[in-house]
Formats: sequence, structure tokens, C-alpha cells
Amino acid sequence: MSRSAFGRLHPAVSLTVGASIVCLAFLTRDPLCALLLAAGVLAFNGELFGASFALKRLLLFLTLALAGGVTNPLISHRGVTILFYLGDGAITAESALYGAVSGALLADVILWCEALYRALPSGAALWLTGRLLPRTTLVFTMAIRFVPRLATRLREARAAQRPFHTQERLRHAVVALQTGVALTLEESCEIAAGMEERGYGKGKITSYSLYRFRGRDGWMTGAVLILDALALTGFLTGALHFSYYPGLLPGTGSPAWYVFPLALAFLPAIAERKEKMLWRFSRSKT
Amino acid sequence: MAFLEIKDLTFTYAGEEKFALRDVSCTIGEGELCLILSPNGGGKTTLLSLIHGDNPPRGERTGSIHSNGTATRSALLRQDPDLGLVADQVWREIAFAPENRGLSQDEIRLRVAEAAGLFGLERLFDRDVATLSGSEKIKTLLAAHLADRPDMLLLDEPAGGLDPVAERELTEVLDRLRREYGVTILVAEQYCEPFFAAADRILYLENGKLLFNGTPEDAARFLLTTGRKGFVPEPARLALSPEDTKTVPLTVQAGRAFLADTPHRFETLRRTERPGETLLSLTDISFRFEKDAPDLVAGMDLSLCRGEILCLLGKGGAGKSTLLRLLAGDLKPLRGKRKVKKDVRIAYLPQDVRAIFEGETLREELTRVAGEEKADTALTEFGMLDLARRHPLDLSGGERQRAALAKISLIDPDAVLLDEPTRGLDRDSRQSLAQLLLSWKDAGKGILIVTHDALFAAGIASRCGLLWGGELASLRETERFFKETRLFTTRTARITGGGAIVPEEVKRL
Repeated sequence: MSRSAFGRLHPAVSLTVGASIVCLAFLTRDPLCALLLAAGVLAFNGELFGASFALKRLLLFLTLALAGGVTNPLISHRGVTILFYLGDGAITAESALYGAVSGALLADVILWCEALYRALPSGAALWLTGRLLPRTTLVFTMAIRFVPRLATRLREARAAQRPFHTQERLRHAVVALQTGVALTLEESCEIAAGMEERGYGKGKITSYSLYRFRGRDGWMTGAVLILDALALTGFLTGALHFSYYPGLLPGTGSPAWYVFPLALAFLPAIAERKEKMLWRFSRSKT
Repeated sequence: MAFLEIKDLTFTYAGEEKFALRDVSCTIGEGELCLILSPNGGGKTTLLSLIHGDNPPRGERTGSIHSNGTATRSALLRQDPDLGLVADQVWREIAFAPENRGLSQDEIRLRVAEAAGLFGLERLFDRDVATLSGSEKIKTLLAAHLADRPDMLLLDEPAGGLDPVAERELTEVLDRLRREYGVTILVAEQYCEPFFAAADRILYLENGKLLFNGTPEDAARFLLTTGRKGFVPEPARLALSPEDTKTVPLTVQAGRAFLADTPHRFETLRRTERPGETLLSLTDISFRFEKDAPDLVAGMDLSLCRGEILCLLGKGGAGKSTLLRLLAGDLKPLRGKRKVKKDVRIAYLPQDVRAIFEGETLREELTRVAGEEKADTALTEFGMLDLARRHPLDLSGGERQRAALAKISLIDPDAVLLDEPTRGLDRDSRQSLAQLLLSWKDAGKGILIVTHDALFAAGIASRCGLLWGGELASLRETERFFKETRLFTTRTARITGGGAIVPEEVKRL
């Protein structure tokens, strides 16, 4: 089982949160949003794997933001606040900020995907596809297993046939490939027969999952979806909009709108923290 | 009450003339544990697949198989557990059959919990099936089949790749299934040791004919008196002459009692060994497969000399195969040195010997290596002339092994490394394998074998080693090895308290 409390939530919840955050990182251009998302993932990493792990991630974030901030003004000369001239090109503050925010958002996407990958159990993604396409998911997981099987057979054939082909190395490789593929294919037939004996292909199949959708999962998914909707409204009404060119122009709405992306970004970290507190309190009661 | 009734069953495979089964009739009761013994190609796999009924082999069949009621559901476990496993994780594997039946989440949850609990798989629930050991794989597969709630379990050579400890575990699990859940169990084996005493009924098949059907003790008596002692458990083989067969000891305990009442002496069969120069040596070798995993081989020192057979025993997953691959040069050690004497040819045969074949026919296979003349000589020598035109992959287990050894003999290797060579071989094939290896040893080859088969090792080895925790826990001359170890020793050594190590060494006064 995943050691992350967030990862132990029902995949419906954790995947909705994860997808919302990554979508947010793709949609927004807002510097504050970029920072909030980074802060959220660093806190999440810190809760899960400790401060030094989170610091390394922070370094990556800063590097990408810096790289964006330096390279973009060299390429794009748009913007009105000219800082200085490099050769014939004007280096503008708008272009630099735009680059830095783009770099930061790219880092956000990478870091969130990494954190989700580490925190969510491998079955979470399969739960989703298994719901929608049980048969395809099964074929997919089996196809993945086929590759290491073939590799093992190839390796065995190469090792066993080596003394017979001391001079002809190319021929050795080709022959070993032949044997390996033949054996793997033959095995596949047997695997197929075994599957059929266990009822595969005889009718409608269901997809079992270890997860049980509880009431708590229901209202959490609901809460996340409401947060999503509010954040989206923020973008559409321009409250969370940020435009760089020609001059910097922040959103027009009240700063209160930032509460929604903030809540989304910190949800996983809060889930971890809450679980730790829960444990501590329940211990102190006994 | 008859649970399964087979009447005059005859079967011929499509395109073949020989009967695979002929006039087989027997009745098996509900909740019985029935052991089907037969030599390689004796018809046991055919019988199991006909009883199972799904995916029956193609051919002509007469006679009938009746099972109690129409709702009987049987599960067949094929020889190689790797080919039975289809999912990535253990719990998915167990849920596979109920999923295919389209059961609801609730129902599947119950089935999975039940099956996993029965085999103590909770600890492995999330593991990737590819990383399981041999006995864990079999248990997972058994649980996966039981989740389908069969009334009858059919197992084809389930103990093939298991070490003695895992063998006993499997026997206990099957015994429980039968006693507590009334599951009827049919086990087909050529290597009988663990199931023989536990079975309610033993069937002996040879060339497709049912030659014996009865209790274990009668079976041992029948097999001993008809010259088929290779199928009898070791303790029973101490009952040396037909007069002795009034009481046949089937277990170590019974064997001790038997010897106490029988005047006997021990006669050592061991020749003096004079190993030659060192062919191949490992010095302080360490190896692991993953960066953060513990060392699978840790600080190993080992050498193989001319004119010796060195057998390494150990539990499954102790790193036996890995060590062999390090010796063969197939894996590079993390630390330490591998030294091969100049111009020494090494031949390596993996557990699945099919990996060595590359030709379309057996003759072509051998001709490619050494020319037609030598190939024909080898075919005659190994008694395979009649199989020369067969595809190597179509040979049976024992034939395959012989073909692979014939191929190896053509390059006249100095060192031969064998991984579990007795797996899936019947006693006759084991015997001829032992003779071949001994003659190779006398010709000055160095042979290294990793195996679970203590009796085989005791019969041929010059030195034996026990692998434990990545190193050699002990490496001694065969005689001393089997007298001093207790877990990985032969039953004869246990019965005689180290007086003899193979049944042939016990002589009646």
C-alpha cells in the first residue's frame, strides 16, 4: 500500500485533485498562481519525504524559473519597460518576467507529476482505465509484462548459445533472437489457454478494485469539483488573469480569488499533515 | 461416494498412431487426494487435460468421464507456474477469475479475502508477481484458482521447481484443502516424494495404461516388486527384497522403525576422488540486481576443478542460478574476480534447456555444431536416432534435456554448468543423466550443478555446498556434507542418522 495518506484516498479523489492541479498549471499565466502551486508541491514533498528532498525540488524550480527568465528576453523583445540593450535587442522586464513564470509553471507541472507518481499507488491509474475499459486495461498490463519476459528469454538464449558461436558474433545475436522470440510466442499460447480456463473471454467481465468509495470520498470529490469551478470562474471573469504585453497588467478582481488555487495546491499536503495529527491525537487519548 | 468416474478412456492425439491413453478406468471419491505417477510421456498430462475438459487436446477419444452432478468446476494448474500467472500484482491475479465471471465488487472482495487468507498471502498482496519466489508463485496461482471456487483441483507436476521446504508447505496446503474444504485433488508427478505418503490413492500409468490403482502402501509394494523402485519414496526403498514388503515405510519416521527391526549394515559406495587442476574460480565475488537491494551473492569464493562434480544446494531464491550465471560469465560481478584457465571452454545450460536450441530439426541442430558425421555419432550415442527429424522444441522434457546435453558434448567443453538439470525428469532419465555426468567427470571435465534434488546430488557429487545468505555456508566432500547437514540432506541420511546417504548403501544382513 502507498505510504502516503493522500495516495490512500480513493483514486476518484486523488486523481481529481491531481488532474485539477496539473490543468491549473497549464491554464494559468499568473505569477502568484505559479508560486502557490510550487509552494503546494514543496509542502507535499516535505510531508512525504522530508525537508532535504523538498529542498532539491526547490532547486529545480528555481533553476527552471531562472533559465526561463534569462533566455526569453534574449529571444522576445516585446514589452515596454526596457531594462538595457544587448546588441540591437532591447531586454524588457515584461519579457523576462514572462519567461520566468513560464519556466516556473513548467517546473510546477514536472514536480506535481513526479509527486503524484510517487504518492499514488500504481493501481490508481489502472482503476480509472479499468472502470472505463476493463478489457483494454487487462491487455495493456499483459503487454507490459511481455517485454521483460522476452528480455529474459533472449538473455538465456544468448548465454546458452555463446560457446557455439565463438567466431560469428552477428550470427550469434540473430540466432539467439530467433530462439528467444519463438519461446516467448509459444509461452504466450500457453498463457492464453490458462486465461481461458479461468473464464477469460466467456462473457462480460468486471474490474475489481481494492478501493471502496465511501461517503467521505464522495464529499471530498464534490469539494474539489466546487473548488475547480470557482477557480475556473476566477479565470473567466479575469480575476486571476495576468497579461504581460505590452505592459504588466494583473487581474482586476479581489485578491480573495487566489484562495481557490491556494486550497487546491495545498490539499495533498494538508491530507498528509492531517493524517499525522490524527495519529498523534488518537494516541494521546489512550 | 464416487466423485469422478472414468470408464474405458482411450485417447490418441491427432496425427499420431500411438495411444496416449488406453482403456483407463477408475473411480475417485469426493475430497480425495489422488497422486498420478507415470514416467515421462506416460499419459498423466493427457489424463489431466481430458478430466479438466476446457481446451481438450485434439485427437480421438472414446470412453467416458463422469463427474458428480453437472455443476462440477475443475481448475487445472499447468507445469510452469510462470505461464499460469497473468496479472501484474498478486491481488489482481486472485481477482482475475471472479472478474471474468462478471461478479460484483462485493462478491469479488469476499473471494479475494478468502483465497488470500487461506494461503497466507496478505504479506504479498501488493507484490509484483514477477518478483515472487517459486513457492510464492505456486501459492498465488493456487489462491487464484480457488477464488473461482472449484470442486476439483488438477495439478500437473507442481513440485517441479520447489526446494524441500517449499515442497512440504505445498503438501500441507493441499492436505488442508482436501480435509477442510472437501476439494478433490489430483496431482500428477514423476517425482513423488512429498505426496506419496499424504495421498489417499495412487494411480500408476505407463505407456497410457493404468497399471495400478490403490493405497500408497500397496502402490509402494507394487512398484518395488515390479522393478520400478525409482517411483517409490526413499524410505520405502530400504525395504530391499520382496519379502520385506509386508511393511513398507513411507516416511522417515516409519523408516527408522523399520531399520530398528531389520538387521543391516552400511556400505559406502563412494570412490576416492582425485580432482585435477582448477578450471574456473571466483574470488570474493559480490553481486546484486538492484542498486539498493542487499547483495544476492556476497563475498563468494568458489572453484571448479577438472574431474569433479560439484553440487550446490539451497533454498529457492538463495541465489543459486545467479551464481551459475556469474560463473558462466553471463553476469558481471559487482566486486571480486572471476578467473578462467586459458583455453577452457565453458558450457552453460539454463533451467529451461530450450534456450540452447536453434535448428529446425534435431539433426540439423547437431550438424551445425560439428558436421554430419559427428552429429550422427552423437545421435546414436545418446539414443536419439529415431528423434533426429523432430523439431527440438517439440521434444518431451527428458528428450529435450538429452538433446541439449548431446549438443554440448559436441564442443567437448572442459567445464559444464547445469541449472536444476533433474527438474521434470523421471527416475529413468535421472539415472541416465547421472551416468552421463559421471562418465564426463571420469573423462576429466569439471561439472557444476545447482539443484534442490539432494538424492541426485548424493548419488553423483564429489563435493557439495550449501548456499545461504549469499555465500557458501558449507562446502564439503559429499559424504561429510550429507551426514552433517540436516535440512538439505537425503531421507536415507535422516533415517540412518548419517550411517548411509543413499538407499543403496544400506545392505541387509
